[in-house]
Amino acid sequence: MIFLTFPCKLRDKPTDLQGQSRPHNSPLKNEDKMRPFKSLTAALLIGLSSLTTAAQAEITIDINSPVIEPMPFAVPDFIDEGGAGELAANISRVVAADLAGTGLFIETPKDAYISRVTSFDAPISYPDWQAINTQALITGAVQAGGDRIVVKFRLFDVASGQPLGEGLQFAGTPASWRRMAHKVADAVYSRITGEGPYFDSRVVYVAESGPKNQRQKRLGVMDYDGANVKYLTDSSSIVLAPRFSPNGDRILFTSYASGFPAIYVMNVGNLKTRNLGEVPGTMTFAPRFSPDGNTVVFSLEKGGNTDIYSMDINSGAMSQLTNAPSIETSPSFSPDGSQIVFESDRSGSQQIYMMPAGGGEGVRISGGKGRYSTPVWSPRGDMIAFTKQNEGRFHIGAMLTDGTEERLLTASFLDEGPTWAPNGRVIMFTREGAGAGGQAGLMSVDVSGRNLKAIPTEGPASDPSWSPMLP
Amino acid sequence: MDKSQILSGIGHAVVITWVVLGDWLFAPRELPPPDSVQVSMVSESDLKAMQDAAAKSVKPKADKPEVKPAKPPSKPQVEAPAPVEPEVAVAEPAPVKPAQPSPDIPVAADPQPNEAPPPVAPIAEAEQPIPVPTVNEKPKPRPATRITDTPMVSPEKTPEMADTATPEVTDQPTDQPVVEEPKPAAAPEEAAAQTAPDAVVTDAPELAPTSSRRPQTRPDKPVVETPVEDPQVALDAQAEKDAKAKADAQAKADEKAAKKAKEKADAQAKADAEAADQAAIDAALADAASDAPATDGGQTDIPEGPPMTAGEKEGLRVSINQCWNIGTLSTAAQRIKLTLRVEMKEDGTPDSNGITMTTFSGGDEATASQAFEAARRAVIRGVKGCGGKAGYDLDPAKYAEWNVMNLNFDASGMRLR
Repeated sequence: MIFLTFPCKLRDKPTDLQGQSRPHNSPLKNEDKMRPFKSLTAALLIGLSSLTTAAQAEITIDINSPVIEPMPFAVPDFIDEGGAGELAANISRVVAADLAGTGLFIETPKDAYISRVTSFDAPISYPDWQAINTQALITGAVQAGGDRIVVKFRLFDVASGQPLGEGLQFAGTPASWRRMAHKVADAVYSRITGEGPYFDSRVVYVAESGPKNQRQKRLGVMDYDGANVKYLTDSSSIVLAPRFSPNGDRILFTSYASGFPAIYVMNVGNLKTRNLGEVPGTMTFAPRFSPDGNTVVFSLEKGGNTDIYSMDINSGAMSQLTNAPSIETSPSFSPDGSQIVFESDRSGSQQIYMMPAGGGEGVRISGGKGRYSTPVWSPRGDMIAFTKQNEGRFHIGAMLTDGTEERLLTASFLDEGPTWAPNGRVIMFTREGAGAGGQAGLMSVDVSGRNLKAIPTEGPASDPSWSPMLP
Repeated sequence: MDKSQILSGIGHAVVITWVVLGDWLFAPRELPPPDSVQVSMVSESDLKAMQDAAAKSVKPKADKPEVKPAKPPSKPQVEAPAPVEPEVAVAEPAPVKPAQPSPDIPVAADPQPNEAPPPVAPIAEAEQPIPVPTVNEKPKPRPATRITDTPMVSPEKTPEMADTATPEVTDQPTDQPVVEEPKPAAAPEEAAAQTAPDAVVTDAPELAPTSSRRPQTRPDKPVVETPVEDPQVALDAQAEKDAKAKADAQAKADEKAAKKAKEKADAQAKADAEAADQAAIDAALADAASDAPATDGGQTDIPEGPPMTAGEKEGLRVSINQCWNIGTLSTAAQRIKLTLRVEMKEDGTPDSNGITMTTFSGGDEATASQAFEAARRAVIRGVKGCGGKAGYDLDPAKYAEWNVMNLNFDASGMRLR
């Protein structure tokens, strides 16, 4: 805003228009008296005019109808800066697969590339990438020497023609190249979306084999994308419902090794397993760690009645959290450890309830038609995933912790057992086909209900449990 | 019962009867079916042959062309399309409308134009006078009212005569102050055209006035100066004091002329100052009233133009909306409401370094950063358009209107959880 100067200053000594000094006692005419005010008025009007004009010069537009579509991105093969060989290209392929697998990104085909990235430090020709409608560009390089590789990358916002954040690099063994690729993808994903990462994580599950009526089950663990499968147990006994500890170093599971279902804990590092305390004449199942990893909540069936108990994993001390003639099971801690959500048929059908972590009266939070089961609290703490059976169909759904805004994400013959990704954005679950030939498999879906896809496994699989982010 | 009601009842009964039975009683009889007249088409060649035959059989008589009209057929039905033999040959057959050439018929030569008919009147060798209407259309004066024959009686009262003589008006100036007739104050002619020293000087192109001018200021009250002490009246000029009086009058006249000159100079200067103030006020009012951008003291080079239309703004909004992709945003970032200030270049593209987030709400700064980047991408990509939609269509003449834009991004309407 510019103020213009007008002859509005008040003279120290009255002067006439010829500059002659006017006697102080000389009476001022009306015009002379009004002149300062007129000038002041002019200045004020000019200022007001500038203000008005300044306001009008900047138009304001409301943008409130966004679109939801995948963002095109490009990952040229990472540069081999020595000794990497095909590893550089493989890492870039894993990065691209991670991003495209989210459903939020779509990779620009390499055939469409106009310019080639030949050096990690070469300037980016943004117009070439803009011309093929690429919005994000990831360049990287890999150095390998001995049993150590270094992966570095940069992310560019093609539209604005500038890098997005600083470049990063990771070092590790050649055997862990997939983890480094996942970490690169995690960094890109979090940088663009603002979500937490989840690519560098693992999933423990029950690997099945054999016919449906004589199914053999064993624990397997894999990368979130189905790669790097390792089996933790053999098929000598049936195992069910594995659950990762909050820091991923242990796994709880239910085993029929003793002939009755009982809870075991496995050290992931050395695969040592121990029974958490078998109580004669009872069955324990559906275990889950507390957020601090020191407490386990589980269901215990005794005399035909099932209630929820907690156990200090170090001392083995148990306490009963529910005491009802109905079946209470599938407990899950809230991220802050203050609440437990569980399922109960105390109302006549399976519904979801919530109670304090120390036990108490449960409050029902599910209110729709059908039966609700296997509730799992989101790592974010804002939602609860569940299995719903209604009108002969199974659904994986999610609702707010107060039971509102329920949404069903899937529907099939049998969907069950949801587990949250570490960032609380993706849910993995078991889907089983109908009939004797129906195979169980793992599926994942975005919490928005989009991007439903199957997780490739070596064979039938069920009961997935997502690990936290790997260290 | 009232007579009018009876009449009304009768009338209604008649109308109702008419409506009910009118169609039956006054139904129009069915019209007889129209007679059909069979006609036969005569081809062009047949017609020409008939005309040729007629021309051969009957010689035209140039002087008295005997024209016998053909007898109208007694019956409308024509039994057969017998060739009609024209009983009378026409001296000058009417030109036949050229038909489409048939392949079976040889093409005739081009018809020659008929000779022009003789003029109705012989052409005069000498120039004929232009006929003038004989009627004089000059309006006649209205008859005036008649003047009375009897003269009016003169007023009885005669004007009174003053006892003392009224002094004559002399050419000599007097010391008596002259009270001028009050005149509305007006600026000198040059004042409006002159540029006041401190007035706003604008280089902006002249535009049609967008608002009515401010009404003229109220005219100043006439300045009535306090009369000075009454001088001696010059009317008592005596013979022996004429010379002295003339000298005194001359001296006073000079003094008064100097005073008038000074007052005139004062008035001129005052008028100049007032004109400057008035010009500034008018300019300020004009700027405030108009939608045109500020002139910045006449130092701006941003072209002014008419304001953006609602359609242009809507087009801009649609273009950005089409490119605003929140699919890659976290659910928290989708909740962010933010305002971007976008500086545009004259070529209609946003200055990528001139896109800043002025405000945001609904989340923390880190989350707002992701929302800002998505919004910035939308603004930049919107130039070329997204999803098959056209990009910005900004009128360069209105650059002053869109050189800076404030964009409020709010996805609360279709937010995902």
